Amino acid sequence: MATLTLTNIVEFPSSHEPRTAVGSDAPTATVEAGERKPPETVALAGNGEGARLPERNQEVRSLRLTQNELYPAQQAFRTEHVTALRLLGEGIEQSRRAIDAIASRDVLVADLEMQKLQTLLPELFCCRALGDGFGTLVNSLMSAFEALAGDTPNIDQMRMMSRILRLLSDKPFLSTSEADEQLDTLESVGLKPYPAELIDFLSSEQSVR
Amino acid sequence: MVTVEPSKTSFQTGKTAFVVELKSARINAVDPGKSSIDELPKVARDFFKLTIQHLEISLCERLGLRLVYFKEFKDREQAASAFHAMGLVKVPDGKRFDVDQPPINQQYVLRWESEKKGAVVQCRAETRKTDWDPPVESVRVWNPVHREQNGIAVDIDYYTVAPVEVGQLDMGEWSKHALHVISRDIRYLFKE
Repeated sequence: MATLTLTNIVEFPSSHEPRTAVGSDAPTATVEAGERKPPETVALAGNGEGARLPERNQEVRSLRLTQNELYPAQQAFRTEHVTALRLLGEGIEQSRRAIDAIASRDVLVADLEMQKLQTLLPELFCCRALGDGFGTLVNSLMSAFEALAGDTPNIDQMRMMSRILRLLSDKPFLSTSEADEQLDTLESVGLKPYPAELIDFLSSEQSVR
Repeated sequence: MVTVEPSKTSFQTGKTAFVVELKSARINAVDPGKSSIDELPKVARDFFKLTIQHLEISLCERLGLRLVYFKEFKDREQAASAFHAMGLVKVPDGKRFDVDQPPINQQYVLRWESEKKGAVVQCRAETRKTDWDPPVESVRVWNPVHREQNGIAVDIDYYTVAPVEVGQLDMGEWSKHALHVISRDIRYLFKE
């Protein structure tokens, strides 16, 4: 006896469905031809993770979006953001040249490159609207240079400054607490990341009152 | 304030909803005017910054911006005809599957995805039906709603695949870039 099997359509496990959830309502908004209109629905979502999971750190390091990948449209940049990225790129390059010069025992070139780095910091500080963490770290570098009083930073100090610039270039929106953690690393190589005026004030009688 | 539950909190202002729930936070704007779209990056910056700060988020597994556009037509045949005219899919002529009429409610879906980012574009001719009758005790207050809309929806979801550390992220800035990329790259649909 022949058996007739009905086609049992099981819904295909949809891999093409967009995952950014929108509301259940879908009201109408007509779009007229030739006229630019806003969309009927906009959904902006972020799926987050509360804990800093050690097992994910490796994954995050190996497969992460750079600033250029995350923010790909030149025309959409905020002025502070694009300026900061440009200046940080210059600063990283200058510190690299300084470190290379020290390695080849050319202290004069190293000093010149570090001076150039110092002169771009005030402009970088003008981009502090990016976040308090950003402002904190740029200010700490300015204070560190000021405390050196014209001396050339040593190789460890240059490396640390370069590391801070690379961190800012990668994470310009870092939090204040994350920035504060970096101040300890600057101090660990003998740099003074706090403004001299602040130290004077805190150690004066005025601050006690 | 719309919902307050341990796993979900939502707010609403006008036609914009803000939702914070387990593993996800999102903003939904329905029928946003141009001014709302322009305002979105600023609103997003503040909303996501506060959410990240208060819930001590350190990593975002996925960011997404989804735009849905809808153009209404008189009936589903007109919507189908307009979809066909876009030339996105090749449709065989003549009678198929014992049906004389040309296809209706067509769909066109493409996904681009790398290890880091992705986008899904859907264009579909669709019929939206609303059938709602008020409860008996409310019939004097509410009228029943029976409505059918036919049109073409263009639905774009642009998202990240690789995780993003919060120090890298300004959601206002990201949404501006995402809006720019979508409006730049979606034009191929309309042969611009």
